[in-house]
Amino acid sequence: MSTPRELMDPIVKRNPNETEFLQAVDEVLESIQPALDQHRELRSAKIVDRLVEPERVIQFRVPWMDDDNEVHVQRGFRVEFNSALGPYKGGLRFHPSVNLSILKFLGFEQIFKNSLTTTNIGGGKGGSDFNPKGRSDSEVMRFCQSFMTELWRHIGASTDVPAGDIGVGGREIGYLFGQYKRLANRFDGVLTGKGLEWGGSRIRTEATGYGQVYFAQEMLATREESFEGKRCLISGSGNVAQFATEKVLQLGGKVLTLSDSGGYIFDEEGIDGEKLDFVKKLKNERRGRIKEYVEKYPGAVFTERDPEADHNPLWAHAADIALPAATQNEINGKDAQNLLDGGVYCLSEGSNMPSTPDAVNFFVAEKILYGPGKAANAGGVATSALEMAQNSQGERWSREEVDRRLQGLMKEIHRNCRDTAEKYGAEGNLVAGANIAGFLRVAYAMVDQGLV
Amino acid sequence: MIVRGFRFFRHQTLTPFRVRDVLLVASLYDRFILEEDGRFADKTLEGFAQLELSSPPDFTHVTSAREALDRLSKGRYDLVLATPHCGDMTPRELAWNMPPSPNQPPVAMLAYDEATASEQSQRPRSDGLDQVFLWNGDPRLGLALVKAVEDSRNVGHDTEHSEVRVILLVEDSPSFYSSYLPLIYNELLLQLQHLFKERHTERDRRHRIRARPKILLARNYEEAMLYFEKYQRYLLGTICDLRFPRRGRMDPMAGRDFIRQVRRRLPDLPVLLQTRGEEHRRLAQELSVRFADKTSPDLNAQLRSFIRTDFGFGPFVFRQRHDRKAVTQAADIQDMVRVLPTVPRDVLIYHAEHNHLSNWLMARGEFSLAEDLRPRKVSDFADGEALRQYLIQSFARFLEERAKGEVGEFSSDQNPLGTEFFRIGTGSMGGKARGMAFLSRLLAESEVHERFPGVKIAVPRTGVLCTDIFESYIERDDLQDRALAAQSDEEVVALFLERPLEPKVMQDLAALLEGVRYPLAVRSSSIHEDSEFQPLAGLYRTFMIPNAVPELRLEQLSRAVRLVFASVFLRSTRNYLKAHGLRVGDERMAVILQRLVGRHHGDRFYPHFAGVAQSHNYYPQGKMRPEDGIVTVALGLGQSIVDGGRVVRFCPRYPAVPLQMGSIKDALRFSQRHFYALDMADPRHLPEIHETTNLVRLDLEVAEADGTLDAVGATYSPDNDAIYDSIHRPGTRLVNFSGVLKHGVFPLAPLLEALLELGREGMGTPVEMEFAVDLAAQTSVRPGRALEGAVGEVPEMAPLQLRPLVASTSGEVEVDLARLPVSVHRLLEGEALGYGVRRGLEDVIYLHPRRYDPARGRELAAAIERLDHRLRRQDRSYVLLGPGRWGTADPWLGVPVDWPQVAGAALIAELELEGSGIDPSQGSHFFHNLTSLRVGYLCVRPHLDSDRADLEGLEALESLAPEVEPLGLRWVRLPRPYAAHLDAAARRGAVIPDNGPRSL
Repeated sequence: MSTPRELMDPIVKRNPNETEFLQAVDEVLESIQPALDQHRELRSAKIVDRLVEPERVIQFRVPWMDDDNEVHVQRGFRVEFNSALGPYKGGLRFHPSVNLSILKFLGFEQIFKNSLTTTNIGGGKGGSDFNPKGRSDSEVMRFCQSFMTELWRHIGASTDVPAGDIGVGGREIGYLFGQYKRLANRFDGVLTGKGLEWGGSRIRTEATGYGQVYFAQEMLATREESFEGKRCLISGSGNVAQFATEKVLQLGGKVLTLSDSGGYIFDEEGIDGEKLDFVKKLKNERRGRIKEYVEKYPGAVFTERDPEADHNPLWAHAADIALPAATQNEINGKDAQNLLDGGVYCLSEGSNMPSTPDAVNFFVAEKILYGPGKAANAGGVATSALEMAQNSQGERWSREEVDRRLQGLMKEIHRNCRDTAEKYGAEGNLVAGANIAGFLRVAYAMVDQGLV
Repeated sequence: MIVRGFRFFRHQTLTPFRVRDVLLVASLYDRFILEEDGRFADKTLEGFAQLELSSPPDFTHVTSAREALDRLSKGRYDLVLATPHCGDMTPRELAWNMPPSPNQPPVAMLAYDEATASEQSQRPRSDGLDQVFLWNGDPRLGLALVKAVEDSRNVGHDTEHSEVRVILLVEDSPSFYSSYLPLIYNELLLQLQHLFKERHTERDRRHRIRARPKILLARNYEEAMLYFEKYQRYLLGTICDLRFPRRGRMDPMAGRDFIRQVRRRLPDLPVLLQTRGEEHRRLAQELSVRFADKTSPDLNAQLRSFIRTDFGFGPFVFRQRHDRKAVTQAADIQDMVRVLPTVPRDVLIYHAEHNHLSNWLMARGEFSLAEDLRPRKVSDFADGEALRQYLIQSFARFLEERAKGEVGEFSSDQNPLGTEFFRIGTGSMGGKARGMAFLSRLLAESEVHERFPGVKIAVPRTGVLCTDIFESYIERDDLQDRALAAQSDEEVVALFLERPLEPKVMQDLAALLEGVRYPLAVRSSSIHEDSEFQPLAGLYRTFMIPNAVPELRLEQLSRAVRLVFASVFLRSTRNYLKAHGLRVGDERMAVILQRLVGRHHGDRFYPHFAGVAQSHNYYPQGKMRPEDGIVTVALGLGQSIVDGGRVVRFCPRYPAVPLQMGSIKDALRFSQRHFYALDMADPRHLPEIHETTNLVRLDLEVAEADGTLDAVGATYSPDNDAIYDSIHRPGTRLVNFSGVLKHGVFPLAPLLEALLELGREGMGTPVEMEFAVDLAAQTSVRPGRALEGAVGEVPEMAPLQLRPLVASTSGEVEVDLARLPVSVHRLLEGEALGYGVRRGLEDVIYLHPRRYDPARGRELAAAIERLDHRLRRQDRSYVLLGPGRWGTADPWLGVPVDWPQVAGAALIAELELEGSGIDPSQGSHFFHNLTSLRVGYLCVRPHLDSDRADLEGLEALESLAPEVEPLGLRWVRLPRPYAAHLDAAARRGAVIPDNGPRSL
């Protein structure tokens, strides 16, 4: 534990056995230490003590009957953690591992993630220890209806707006929303992740990949540069990588690489729109391997993944921009060095923690344009806020409109991180900027709203 | 239960009393007479042999009644046959003195003088003797005697249970019936032999003969009336004397009175009056019965004629009512369908009025049709034409039904019309075909068709080239020796391809192809295949031939047949057989030629879907019980399942519960994205030894365009992060079978549940069944009309194969794994398949998950094969441990070894890594082999508290110096022997130090 003991001890004492939650608190407190050091008023307002205590925890019984008429009882939760910036917002998770500690941990992190989007949403999390795996549609529906029969009285478009998470996808959101509507007799924007035809927002699938590129675009703009003519290395070939590629192409850049767990392809001529369509079909519909790209486009080269190798050769190609969108820890210290050696000076993370701590330290030390995941991939969370905005206004925005607003939000997030970093003596260090900016928005709002 | 009872099972329960052991009690003198006159016992055997009857009885001779009683108290006999002089007692006294027992054998007397015989025969049966015969030197008497004893014992049971027919012989003279009965039995059996030879298998023939009419002998009026009252419903006819005792006195007109009684109630019953003197012919005419003069030299011919025509063993002769002149005749039932439209209306009505048709059917053993026809009266029909149509339809439907489940015999000159399962040749059909024939029969006899009226359920038309064809083929020109000496698989294949099949076989194949215009699957059926413990599943080859180019069809077929033959001699087969103590030279191969289920879609041919259903699920989830079974199903041909690729799994009892597609992420990861079809683009393609060369792997969009995705497809919407159960929304197509499993497009789950139950009942063990389904053309998901297709088309469920699945719950378990002390070191612990203990394990071949590189899967499989060979040479069995699924075709799921490559393993363990979502591989061909050959299997989930081998255990292995270490694969020697303990009932297993038997 690297947070000062006097801060952590009472939290540990008050939340015994909540390992996951305590670990999250420790990490957050450590990252905002510089801000806490400077802001004595936050200390005297006991902002940390108040932050770590959820505003409200709801725990309830969820009885339901399976297809064989057997009764089951599950535990339902909603942790309404912090509403300083807006209605509680955070996913519902249906998984057998769900317990209060896990939901508090997730809800606590959600406060800062949401804050960073610069939109007006608070933090929360909920769910149940129900396991939808191995359950029929009707069983899942009956469970969702029972769950919502209790939850509906605690949520509302201006109070608490849950979304999906593990085990809660479009199907579950549909069942939950239907039951809410029946009980409340209102068609409210009380959940996000709804079906496109009944209140969902466009661009949700594209949001993370687009947002990652917009974030990079903002970083480039600080050097008065753009994507035009830039060579990009993109890893992965899933949703994020595909839409990052699409956006790079729209912005005039050139994408050289894509990958999957079997290896990567390098296309010196660049992956154009037609080739991208092939990749989308290959990966989304046929679930094929990226290797097949070179069978279709023999000009490209496929390099098989070498599990023994100490680096990923994808990152050693000469380029200007890197957009990792594959998996955790895919860029190590050596890769970071290779990136720089190859001319890369801008890196925006589309996946969660793609760079090892070594690599991150290296990027920060070398002062390249480095957009950490928690900021650069906030596009996904941001579109939830956009869905809420559309619902509250009773509007349905076009793709272009949502895309424009997403771009605006990413620009805002970048500015917020950059300004904060600068203010706290870490100019250009968007890692520190993101951590502190997320915290400060909430903290200031709490101070402003008095002791509540 | 669904099984109505096999036709042949029903017959097997016939004749519950059978004479197998005869105790012949004859004084030395009597015996001398019998021997002198022609060796009674030997002649009896001869009589059985002449009529090709199975299991003739054994004779034990004793010379005195006392000795007989001694024998009877120690052993079991089915018949005591005594001569008048059996030492100290008469035969009747012997009967009285026999030890009382529920199984007391009948006692018959064999007299050799007429006076004794006559005197004894008129005493009541309750007085001790069941039958009295007069020895006349006829070798057939012994047979008649045995059969008469059997019939009198079985008639009650057999009529009640199987409605077998009865022939009543009324005759008081032992000398006469002793010569007459052998004649009747002989004639009857000869007629039956002849009748059933035409279109029945040997086994069926035997069963039908067992269901032959029973002959009852009445020796006086009272007995005759008693039998008549009791069995009149079953009477086929009667042969009656005129003069016999009535109320204890000889009555010269007893026969006339008896016949009048019979005529009153059964006016149409065939009756033969046989007596001495032509003068009685008029009486016979008066009584409307046939007549035979006992003194006539052609008595035998007259009797034969009566049996053939009146009892219905010969052709059915249509006669005019007024003069009984023959109009036309039908040789058999098939011929009847041909003849019926031409028979004059009044002739038809005449025969119908007298039940001649049903009598004829009864005699031929076709009880069910006879029973259907008999109650219908001519007055039930508007006119003769309506009657004719009814008869034609009844006969035709009967033929169709009978063809189901029958194994007919086929050759170029004998094509069993309508038969759906037939054999060419006389040898064995092999294990797989035997399973199919059994399945075909089970289906024909079951009620499953009635439960699912909108579905055609049948094994597709199948022909089997029996093993004798293989044998004579490989024996010619020392082909077998040359194949065994061949240095490579290519050489073996070349040897077989340069040698044509025999001309007769080619003729048969050509005749077979005449009526066949669909693609064929040519499959192996070796004598070892699919037997419970040596299944060889997936070892031999299957070929699919388009059968579309007239001049090439025969060549394609004969080539495929020879390639199946050649597969016996391929390297992989030889290794496998050798590893399991089987000799290649002992292997014999039959070949299955089966209609490929499916339909043409452009230049592709495939069924809507195919799969494997198992009545036992080794890995039940949630509320599912092991006996609820498990089904694996895939769009298109079953190759996807053999490959272990992405397919849908479901429990037939809970079809709406998704198994491996419980979450969107899993559904996206595991949904089928391709399917297999037979490539018809090159109909001239000649089969090659690599069996999948003419299969094409196609994208789902092809299926969507073909209209076959509709019933099984779903759509993932990335916008909504949801999966929808149809392909009518925009998004990525998946295969989740929701249309079939949830929305009533086809009753797959209940149908498979019924079929599995049927198979399990039939085989008496858990079973595995392969199947293919083709939905009717233009099937679309329309509520309430889901099964509707093109006019006249119904969806087809084709069960393809049935084999026993090993799921034993018994076996040696030495260690209660649940109570194993924590201190005992477990090298591995997890969910187990198999049972018992494998001792002395000192070698482990393992692959650490972190070193597994799917891209090198094939190389790894080859490396494992080399290690396997090396260890087997040293006679050391080993533990094989690795990540994911062993034996899969997809290296991303696990190491793609073939069964023969790991044949030396004693225990195979799969490490299921958390979140990998990869199902263990039980159920594929690979694991069927494993479990059947009693190789242990463990599925270890290190992330569960209950399971071990965890990464700690692996680290322990890592610390041992490897013998070799190719491609990250390690072979290590354990510092001490270990034993694998598997408990099938608890489905747990562990590998722990081996301390010898029961010493833990």
